[in-house]
Amino acid sequence: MAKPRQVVLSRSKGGTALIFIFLLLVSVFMMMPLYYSLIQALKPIDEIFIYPPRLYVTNPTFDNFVQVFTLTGTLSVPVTRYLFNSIFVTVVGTVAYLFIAAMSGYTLAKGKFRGVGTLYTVIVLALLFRPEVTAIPVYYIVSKMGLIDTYWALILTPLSGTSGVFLIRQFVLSAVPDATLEAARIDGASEFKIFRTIVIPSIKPAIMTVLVFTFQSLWNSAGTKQYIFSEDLKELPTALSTIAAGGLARAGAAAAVSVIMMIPPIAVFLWTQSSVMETMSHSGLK
Amino acid sequence: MKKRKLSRLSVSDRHNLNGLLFLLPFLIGFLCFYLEPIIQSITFSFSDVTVSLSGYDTVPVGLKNYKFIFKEDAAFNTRVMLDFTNLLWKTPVIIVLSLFLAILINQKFPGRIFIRAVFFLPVIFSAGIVLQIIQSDLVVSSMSSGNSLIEDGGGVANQSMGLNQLLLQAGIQEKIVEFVTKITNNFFSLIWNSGIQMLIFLSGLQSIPGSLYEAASVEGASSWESFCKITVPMLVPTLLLNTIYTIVDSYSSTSNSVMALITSSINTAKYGRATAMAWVYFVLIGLILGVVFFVSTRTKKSSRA
Repeated sequence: MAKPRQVVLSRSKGGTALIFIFLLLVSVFMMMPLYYSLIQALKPIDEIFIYPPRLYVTNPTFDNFVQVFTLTGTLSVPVTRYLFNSIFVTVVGTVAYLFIAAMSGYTLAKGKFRGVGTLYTVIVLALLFRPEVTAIPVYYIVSKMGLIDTYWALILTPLSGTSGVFLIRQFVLSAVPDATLEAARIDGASEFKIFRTIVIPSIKPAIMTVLVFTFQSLWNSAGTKQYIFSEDLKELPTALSTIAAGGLARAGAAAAVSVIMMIPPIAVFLWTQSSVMETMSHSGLK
Repeated sequence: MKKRKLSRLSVSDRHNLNGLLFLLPFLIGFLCFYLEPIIQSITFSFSDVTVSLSGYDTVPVGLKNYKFIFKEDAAFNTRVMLDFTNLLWKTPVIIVLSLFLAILINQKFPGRIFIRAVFFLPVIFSAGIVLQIIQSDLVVSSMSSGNSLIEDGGGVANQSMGLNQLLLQAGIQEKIVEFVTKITNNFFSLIWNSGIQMLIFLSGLQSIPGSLYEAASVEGASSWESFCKITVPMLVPTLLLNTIYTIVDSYSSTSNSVMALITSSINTAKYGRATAMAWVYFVLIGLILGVVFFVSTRTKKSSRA
């Protein structure tokens, strides 16, 4: 009995080392653009234009970052306003979408009433429609509702996204056993209590994944820029792409901009991953 | 008050009501911003659409847009075919690759959060403004064409020419060699496109209860056995999800020539024609998805039996 166990252990140690080396090699390639933008952002102006480009900085400086903020300072609204808009819309939108997607995903997976199947099919088919194609009708609907140039347009329109709902539905299907739900119902738990105390904890990895996606797309204000005209409701990406459009003279500022845009999604990703792992170690062996 | 009212209803009625309440917030948004525009786009595809600031006018033109696509627009047909062949080989490769990567980074090793973050980077890069800035950087674009980070480049193609010869001389069938070299040529663009799939697989792996593996190891199952008998069956819904995601995601890829054609038609104000193209394309993709669904439900049934 003891012998095979030892074999398994020793192989897994060697395997882990191999895996680690492989992952490290691939990650060097994955890191390249991030590393390069970071290096570019830290280069003083004379180093940026050295050809062929260097992969290191001789005199690192934060001038480019300072430049980003002084440049946006010449716009009619202070930078902090764009920053506030981005953070507000992203946080409110993400929390609201997680709530909506988790509830409807759970119902679509476990609901027993008529029409659930049809609705699910419609949602999957709707996934196929790229926003580009429906952009014009959506714009007129938003304007008929009087939402143009309001935070509502930025927060409400992404709430209709189907991909998170679909993802959560698939996870509820595999991670929440019917028997557990039945047992809770027999014990007299309300549907909302079941949702809160059983469903949410068991699909936490999926919720964290949807959180990352939603944060990412809201942070980039993907597909909602066209609803906003007044400067003080615009988000960071709009302000930053104005800077980036400045051409070669602003190459350093543009690199700084891309670094600024990348940091929050990476931070959120790290946070979700560590919290998922925490829950795994606490509740994984129930 | 509300509770008493609810308890008077039958159990199944209460389920219906609860389910509806849970779905309602999503349904409202879905109907307003998703379904309604999609349905409107059907009308658009049969009309000439002129867009103005105050609204849009539609003049019904019958099948004109569709006739144009099938009879006059050679570009559309060839591009759809090209896109389909790409989809057919890329989807399974991306799925296998991302599953492989997800299993690897789900292992316990030092610094795994760091490695996970690194593998998630492409998802962040591919988002609007960051990609725009990276691509507009002359230096990076000259670098990436050598490294084939974003599109296939010369350097890697040369390498696989050697691989090509080697495999052919080893007596492997030409078709298989072609397939393998296609993959090595696109290796980086494939890895870059599998970030989200990998993350979805990862959360799939994380939601498999650890007790299952414990039970299996108590019963004396090997790690290969527990992979086949626990991991794979538990991942079936995730697999389906990822296949659909990959197919859907292929639209947003910059290399999708059909979507490029559709957006260029929108930009040149040929909105009716663009929606007609979109509908033809989506019906075709819908058929593929139908096949995927059919196969997945069949395998689910046969695995249960």
